[in-house]
Amino acid sequence: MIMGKQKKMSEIIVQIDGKEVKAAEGMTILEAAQKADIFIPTLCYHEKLEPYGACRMCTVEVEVRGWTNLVAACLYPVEQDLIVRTRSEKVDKIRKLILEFLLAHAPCSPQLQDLAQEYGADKDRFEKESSFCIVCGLCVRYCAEVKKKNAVGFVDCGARREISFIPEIASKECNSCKECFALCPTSYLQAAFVLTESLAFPAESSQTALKK
Amino acid sequence: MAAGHTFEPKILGFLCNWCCYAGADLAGVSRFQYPPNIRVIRVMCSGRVDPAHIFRGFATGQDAVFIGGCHLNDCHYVTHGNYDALAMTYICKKLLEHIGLNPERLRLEWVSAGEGIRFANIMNEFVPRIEKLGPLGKGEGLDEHELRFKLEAVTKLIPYIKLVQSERLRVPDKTEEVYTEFFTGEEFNRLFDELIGDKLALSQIMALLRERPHSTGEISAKLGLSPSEVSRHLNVSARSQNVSTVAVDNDSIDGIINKHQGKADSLVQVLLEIQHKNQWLPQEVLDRISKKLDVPLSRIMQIVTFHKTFRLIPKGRNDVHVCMGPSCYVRGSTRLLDSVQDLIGFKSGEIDPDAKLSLETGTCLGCCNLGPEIIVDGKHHARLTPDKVKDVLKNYE
Amino acid sequence: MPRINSASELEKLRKGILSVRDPDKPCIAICAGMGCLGLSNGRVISAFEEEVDKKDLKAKVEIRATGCHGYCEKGPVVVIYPEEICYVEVTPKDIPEIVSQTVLGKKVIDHLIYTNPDTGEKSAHLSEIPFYKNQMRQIFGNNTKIDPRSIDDYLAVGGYSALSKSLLEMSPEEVIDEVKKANLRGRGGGGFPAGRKWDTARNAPGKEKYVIVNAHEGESGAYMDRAILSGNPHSVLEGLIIGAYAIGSHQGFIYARHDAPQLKKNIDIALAKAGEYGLLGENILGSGFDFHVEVHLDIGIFVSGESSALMRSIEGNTPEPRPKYIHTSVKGIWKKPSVLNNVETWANVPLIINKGAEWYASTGTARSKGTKLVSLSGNIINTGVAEVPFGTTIREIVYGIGGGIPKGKKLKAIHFGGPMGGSIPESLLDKPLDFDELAKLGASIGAGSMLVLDEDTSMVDVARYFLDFLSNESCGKCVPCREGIRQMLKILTNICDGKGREGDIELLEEISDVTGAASLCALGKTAADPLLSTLRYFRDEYETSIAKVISPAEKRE
Repeated sequence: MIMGKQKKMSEIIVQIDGKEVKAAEGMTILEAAQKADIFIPTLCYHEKLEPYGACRMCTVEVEVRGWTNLVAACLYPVEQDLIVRTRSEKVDKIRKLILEFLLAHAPCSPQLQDLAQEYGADKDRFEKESSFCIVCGLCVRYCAEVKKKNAVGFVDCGARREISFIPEIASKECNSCKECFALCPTSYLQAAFVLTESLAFPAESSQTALKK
Repeated sequence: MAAGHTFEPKILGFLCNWCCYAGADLAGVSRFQYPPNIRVIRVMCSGRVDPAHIFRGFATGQDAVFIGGCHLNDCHYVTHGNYDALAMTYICKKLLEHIGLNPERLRLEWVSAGEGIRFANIMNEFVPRIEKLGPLGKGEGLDEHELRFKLEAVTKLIPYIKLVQSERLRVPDKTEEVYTEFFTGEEFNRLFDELIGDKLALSQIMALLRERPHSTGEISAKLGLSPSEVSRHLNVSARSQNVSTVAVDNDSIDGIINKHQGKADSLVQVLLEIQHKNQWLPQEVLDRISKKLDVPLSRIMQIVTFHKTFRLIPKGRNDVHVCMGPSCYVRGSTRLLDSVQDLIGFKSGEIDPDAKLSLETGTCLGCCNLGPEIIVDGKHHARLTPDKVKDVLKNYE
Repeated sequence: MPRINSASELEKLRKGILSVRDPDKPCIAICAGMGCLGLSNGRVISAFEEEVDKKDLKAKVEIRATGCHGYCEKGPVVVIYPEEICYVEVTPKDIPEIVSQTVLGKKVIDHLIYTNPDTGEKSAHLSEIPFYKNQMRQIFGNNTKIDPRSIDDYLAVGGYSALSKSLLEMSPEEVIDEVKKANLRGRGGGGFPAGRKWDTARNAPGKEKYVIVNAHEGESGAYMDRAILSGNPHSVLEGLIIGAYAIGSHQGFIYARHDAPQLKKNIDIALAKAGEYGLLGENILGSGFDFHVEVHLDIGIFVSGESSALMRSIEGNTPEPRPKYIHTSVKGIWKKPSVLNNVETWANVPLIINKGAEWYASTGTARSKGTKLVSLSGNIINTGVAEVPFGTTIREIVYGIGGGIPKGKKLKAIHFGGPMGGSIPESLLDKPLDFDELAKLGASIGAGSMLVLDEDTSMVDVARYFLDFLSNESCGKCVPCREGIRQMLKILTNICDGKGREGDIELLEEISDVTGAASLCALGKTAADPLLSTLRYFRDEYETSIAKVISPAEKRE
């Protein structure tokens, strides 16, 4: 298996945007790119969490063993002689449309607006949707993996997928935590929290809503 | 009201320090007469007024609320707070409408410091108007109890409404035309109904249920919603665990759960077994499963809401499925579904007020030779046409 | 029943079973498949039992409730052996006549046999009926002879000889080689070479490996998997055990639909009987090979038929797919190598082992070998399950077996593969049934459902229907699929409602491009395929709908 430019058993050389990057076995393209200071946009990625692959903003073009493919950089494992292109016509088109989809939900999100400028995404392309959650899952995963409280989770599926707080757990844990609020690219998380608080928290703790 | 006892409206006024308050003061000093019904609170800017203040006013016995601020583009603060007051007033008026109160009870006017006469004229017109409308609630035909729980429902929702407004209902430009266009436009109405209107109905249902358990029919009568809509809201409530439900047959359910104690991998099978046996999944059962199988409740909620296989509220005594698979579809199942819905008066995913029937559209069961068909309690009624639907359903009690 | 411990014991048992079965003894085989159950064939079965009892014929006549015969349109279907006389649309009141006239009197009852609606020609025997005559039923044919609850019936037709051969005469590598040479391609929709998948799993590191039968059959309009698994469960089980032996797995899973109680019952009975006979469990046939099977039910959503989602469901999680940059045959359930194959794929395995790869590969086309089960539905006269060799033209299937379009309507299109497939127009009807040929036409064969659409169908509405289906059945995790489907559905609904706008078609094409390229799993990637195929062949319908207020073909009545 040792051939070409491989120096140690676990070190792999890949090419990202024409630049040679040293990566370790088991790394993803995104990790390798970040190590080499090459920027790949992400929305659902967070260094403390397992990569999720839901937003697809990190889609890049890869070429290996004669095959060209479009893959999610946050999940695709590096391999020897992998060639990666973080920008291309196809990649840019994908990112632009993903942004336009999400801007129909949350046109005022700062993260989306910054990326929209870069990719020329038009926030008025699609009719405005009422739900302003972009279902990136950062809140759900943070609560499950880092805080291990599972106070918020996903419900429903398909186009109706949304986040939902578990009233019993949220009423006990969230007021002293709220670390996930800072991760939310829109403010839907706070809105969902106060909604659950006002509608579903057990009677004693709902007093806090009126006191605020 | 006893005869001869005229109604004196109580009006709460929030006047901005720089313009309107001074204007009201000028009216007083210049002896311009106006009715004494308004109790004034001075605020530094009309933009300071919060929906919570307005609804607290209504909840504590005021019949109307008045907000007075500087003319648009004349706000004494660089933030143009009076535009915020304008946006907030549009939203509060819609909220009042939604709970059955006359939106005219909330009024926003721009009065400058030198417009004493204008202030008096406004009051001279506003107070008789409110007199005519009658006391809050009573004037619209709501009794005291109804008024109380409706106002409670709105008040509880205010933190949510404010977040929704700041994120989703932002106006692109600060001019009067743009504000008027936005808040009278179709997009705003649609977003309001979807984001706030629905939640308001839910909040009212919750307020009713907090007092005591209600039947679907009672809720529907008190809130003026169709049983179909109430059913839809209850489904949503069960999903977000606003409504707690209890099991009846705990022994057999516990038997299933105990068989898989500690085995988190068996979660899906346990849920399916209980769904098959009990026909629906009570909330307290989900809590027990979470503890006994050592899985987070959020994971359970995701699985049970993932597909309509799992029911979180009890089914009707008879379960009606209309197959909407592609073969049945091209053979006319949409017309079949329409005739079923017309006959029973509610839509798929809901149950009727007497819990006699629940209706669901099914995915293809692979009996394409029977299509289009209706399956009631597992029995196939094959190759149906809309006119035969009545005969099929009338046998089920 | 002592467990069978060798090949010779198995053959002895088989001989014993056959010796007490008189081939001339009349046997009434009544189809107890799902389609016929819905036509109250339960009453037909009890009527036969009552009549036989009444006439004191229990010792002389056998009644067998079998698996699905395939001719669902004409159910309840009854076949009288040994003459193989086939009666269709049988009702309880016909039973006394059948028993006295046919079973005892050996006479054919004219008004109960099949009549060709076009020619008026009558066919008394099963093999003469056009529906059956034009098929090649090497997998499905045994359904009429087997009671799925009886393992002896399966042994009587030669069952488990392939298992005996594989375990006791072949090495695992030889088994994989045979399957590779036969070029068995997955029948669930992927068309991936099964032998190659088995090879990858066999060579993947780790001792614990799993094999799975994907009996989810989420593709709407497809019901052949339920027909085989419910009607002849041992054929699938035999294939599964052979596959497990080949890759070195000792634990298997059958992932079945939760809403088919008869299917689950038949699977449970089959597993119990196989275990009893020593054909499953510890030391199978005395070979030293252990293998156990667990049954898992799905939660009902379409996406749980996707292999990685299915595996998550077995682990007790929500069935959400993951990107398969690392194949599930290397890291599957609980990160162990897992081979997932469709019911029909597994059912083909005993055939390949028994008759050999060369024999198997002599049927079919250059790159699609063997036969394929198709389920006919929609605007067609003969709804049912049919088995044809690859290479058969679509026209032969629709007219020769399907009997054409009802009510004298013209054929407009055939839709393959459900929500992840595509439609081909009438002009392409002479194309062969073949994985690659159909894929080139934009209508992936999928699991084999053939939805026949007549001239009154609006193809725009068909595209809208499938996207509506997917919007409820996709997991919603990734943006291109969730939002792409949402927006495409909105546009198509507007077009169907007469509110189409200039530029809608171009926008649909742009969205389907991104959804197809960037989605996480196959559901998202193929979500736009029905739309794209209808745009390819019926673009004028879209353009007219947008230009006019009302769509040219009214929404299907």
